[in-house]
Amino acid sequence: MLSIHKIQVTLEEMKDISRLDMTLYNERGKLVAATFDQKEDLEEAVINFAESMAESQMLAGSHFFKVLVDDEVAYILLVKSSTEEAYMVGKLAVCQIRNLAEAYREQFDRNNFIQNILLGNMLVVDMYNKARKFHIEQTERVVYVVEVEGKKDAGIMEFVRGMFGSSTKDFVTEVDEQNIILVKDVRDLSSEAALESVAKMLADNMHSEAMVRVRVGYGNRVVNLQDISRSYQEAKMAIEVGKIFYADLETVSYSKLGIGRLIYQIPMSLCEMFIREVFGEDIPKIFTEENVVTIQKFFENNLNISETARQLYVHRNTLVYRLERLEKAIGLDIRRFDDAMTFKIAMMVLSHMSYQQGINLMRGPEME
Amino acid sequence: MASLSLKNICKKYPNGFEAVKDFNLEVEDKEFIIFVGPSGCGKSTTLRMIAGLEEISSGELKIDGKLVNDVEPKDRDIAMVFQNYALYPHMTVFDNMAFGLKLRKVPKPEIKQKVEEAAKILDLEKLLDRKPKALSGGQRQRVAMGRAIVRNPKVFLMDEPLSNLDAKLRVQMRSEISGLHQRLGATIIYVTHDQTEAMTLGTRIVVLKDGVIMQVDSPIKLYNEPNNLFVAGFIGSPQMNFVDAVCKVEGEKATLTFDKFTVTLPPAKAKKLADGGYNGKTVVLGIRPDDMGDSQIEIETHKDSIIESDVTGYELLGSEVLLYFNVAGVSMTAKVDSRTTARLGDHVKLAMDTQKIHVFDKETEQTITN
Repeated sequence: MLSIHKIQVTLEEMKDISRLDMTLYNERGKLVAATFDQKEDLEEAVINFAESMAESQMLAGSHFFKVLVDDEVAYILLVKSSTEEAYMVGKLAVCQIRNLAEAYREQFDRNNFIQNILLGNMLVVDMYNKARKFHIEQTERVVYVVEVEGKKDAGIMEFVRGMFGSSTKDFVTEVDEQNIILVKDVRDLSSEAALESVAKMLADNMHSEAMVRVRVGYGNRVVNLQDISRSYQEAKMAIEVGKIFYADLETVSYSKLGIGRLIYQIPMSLCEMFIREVFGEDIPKIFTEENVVTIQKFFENNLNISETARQLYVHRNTLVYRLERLEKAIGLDIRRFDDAMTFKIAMMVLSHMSYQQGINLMRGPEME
Repeated sequence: MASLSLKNICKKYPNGFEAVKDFNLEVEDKEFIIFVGPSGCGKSTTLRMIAGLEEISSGELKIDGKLVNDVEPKDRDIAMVFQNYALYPHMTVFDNMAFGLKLRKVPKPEIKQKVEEAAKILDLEKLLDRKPKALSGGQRQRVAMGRAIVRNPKVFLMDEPLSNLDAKLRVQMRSEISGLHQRLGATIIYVTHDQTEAMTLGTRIVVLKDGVIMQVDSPIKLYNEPNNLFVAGFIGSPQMNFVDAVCKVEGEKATLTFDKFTVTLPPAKAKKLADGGYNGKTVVLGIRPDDMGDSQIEIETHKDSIIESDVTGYELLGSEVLLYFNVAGVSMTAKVDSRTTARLGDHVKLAMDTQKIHVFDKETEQTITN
């Protein structure tokens, strides 16, 4: 449905050009927009005109016109004058409003179409028929999901639309309250770096223009329309996995989730089994700030004790003591590659479990 | 415009990674502060915490004396310019700058006034009707800045805005940003990984490494008086030369020996080494390529700090030459006058300006002699 604001602006602009006052009613005689304070109650007259066969008529000093959209009366336009010139202006205004309404309807229908594709709500045969109708061709596309932190308002969508929406090749839509979806034509973006740069551009623009925190996830390239839904699911998963394992990144590609994607898909029961196997019945209280920083630094420095000690500003012996204390607590010597790997995976599984259960399973009091 | 106060600011992610540790900084009104450091040092994270795009794990952030930790980005009276900006391709320059204001329902006359003011500052007045594809790279960058200027913010935050530009355009835009700072009288916080950019733009530079502030100082002080090995190596191009040397203190005299060379330090530096108990210890000698020379005058002036080696690389820069050589197993560089007769393969003598020698504690990496 064409917005009232849009209609009002259109009438105002036509009045500026023609110096003629106009009002617009819907087919039930209710006032939609006006360029002057319409005091006269013309509801009955409008309804009667709408039900008549005439496309235009002169009544009460005004020209009445029907605005037909898809052969149905959508609006009734009144031009407040009985001159020949007013009639011409009225006809032009009818064209303008009808084209606007049709464009909006088509846009709405296209938007609806894309939403249904994303959600997988469409039969393949319907998909291709409608795609033909909307002139949407099969080409390489990637779905980007922009997750907005906090309340998403209409203005935020407009920023993304401003960047891509005017293009006939890209589609900007939303299917829930939190996310904005961009279905991007990527035939000209051959490299992974180019896809990443679109994601970064989305994030940076949202930060600087809309001034909201966002996270952008994107899926793999797809060609067939029915696979767009898959790219969308991948983009959503990228965001979810990113929140758990790559919280410092604001753009996440599904194809680069690595071990995070594997762990994310492990059922909770298997996660619990694995954690019990590694740590025993109770998760040991080893995740103190000191230990977490020590382990993090140790892994960052590829299990190099000297470099880790240097960066932590502790003596080498102090670091060795900490690692031996850890080994006593959990039975894993993270100076050895196999144990370090097991521990790293266990930490990631715990992060996953914490996220899914909404509690931090790693918090505990200081170790003695 | 405004002042900024960052007290004990920390950023820790749920997985335990500490991106920023105990960051303390006071920014005065109208200052141009640069955050510089290698990739992953926490500079962008800190900027985003100031912007409100990243939650502050602990610490206090105040803008103009007001605590803003929990204030939404759009309510902090800031404007941002990022590396990967995109102009709205189907809108004119005017509409690009006006779009954000329009969506915030700013009245039309006010939008017009703000856009025209910004266009005047950025020299975009004649381009207001053009679309982005008809603009040069530099003009587009200015439009991106225009989008920030029209918000009339208290603080501008810029995150590597020039990184995507080619070298020539970067140099041009640097001077434009510097000019903009003067014209706007704005408080600007600017993030870059490029130390040359940092040195040319900032009134004060914050050097970061692994989430920790290494030093906060003016460009000249950072260059001449680095606090530690990291700052000394990061600031200055070509990089400072470092070589391990054994310190010997005899009375008021201190020497540094490496390979077969001995360098005698001036009294002030000798005293610092003596007072610090560095006699017999291995320290790190640092000397900038610019502070070495092979001319006869330099060799005669600095008789106590001569080293010799074979030239393994020769690069003519124009008015200067870079000579590459090895000493004590370490690859070093000297920047000498282009009139040098030294060529590739020649055996050369180089003198170090002992007043410009820096000595660092090998364990702590802190400067001893500044």
